[in-house]
Amino acid sequence: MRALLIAAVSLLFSGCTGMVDEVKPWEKETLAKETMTFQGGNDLLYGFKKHIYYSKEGSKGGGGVAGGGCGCN
Amino acid sequence: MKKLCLTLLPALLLAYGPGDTPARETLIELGVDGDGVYVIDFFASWCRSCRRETPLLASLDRKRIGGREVRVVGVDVDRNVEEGRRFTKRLRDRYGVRFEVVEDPDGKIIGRFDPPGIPALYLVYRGRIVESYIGAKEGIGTILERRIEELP
Repeated sequence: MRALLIAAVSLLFSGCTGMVDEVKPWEKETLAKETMTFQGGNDLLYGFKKHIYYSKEGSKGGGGVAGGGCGCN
Repeated sequence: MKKLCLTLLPALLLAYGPGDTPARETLIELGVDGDGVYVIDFFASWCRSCRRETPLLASLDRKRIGGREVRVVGVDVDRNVEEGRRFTKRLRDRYGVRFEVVEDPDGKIIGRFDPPGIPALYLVYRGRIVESYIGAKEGIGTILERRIEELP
C-alpha cells in the first residue's frame, strides 16, 4: 500500500515537471512589459490602488518585477 | 533534499561558469579568438538593468589594460530582432557603443551559458571563462578593469 502511494505521488510530480517548462530570464520579455505591473501603465490608477492596498493590508511592495523582469537586481 | 540536489546538479554542470572552457563553436559564434581578453555581455532591449549597464562597457572595448587589449562582445537576446536592432542603434548613436553585437533571437548561445539573470557578463581569457557578473553593477567598468589587471 505504501509503495503504491509513493509510486502514485512520484508519478504525479513527474507529470507536473514534464508539463511545465521553466521560463528562462532571457525569455521574460512579456513579463517585463509595463502592462504586467499593477498600474498597467496608468500611474494615477496605480497611486489609488497602492494607497488602498497599503491601508488595507498594512504592508507594501511586491507590486512589480524587479530589474525589468530579467531575474536580476 | 538529496534527490533535489541530484536533480539540480546536472543543470548546474551543463551551464558555463567561471573555470569552464566554452565549446569551440560557441567561441566562433561570439567572435572570440585565441588568447585575448573578452567581455561577453548578454543583454536585451526590454531589460531595464541592461539599458543601464551596457552603455558603461562602451569605453572598455579596445582599451589596453595590463598590456592586453580588451574586446567587448554584445549578445542581443531579443526575440524580436527588429526591436533589438533599434536598441543597438540607440546604443551606438547615443552612447558611442562600437563593439560587435551578435544576435541570438533563439537563445541558442545564452542557453549554453544559462545565466540566472540578465544582464550577464562573462570575462573570457585564453578561451576560458574567468569570471561572471550577473545583474547590473554600478562601476562595472572599474570592477572589470581591476579583474583584468589581476589576470596572469
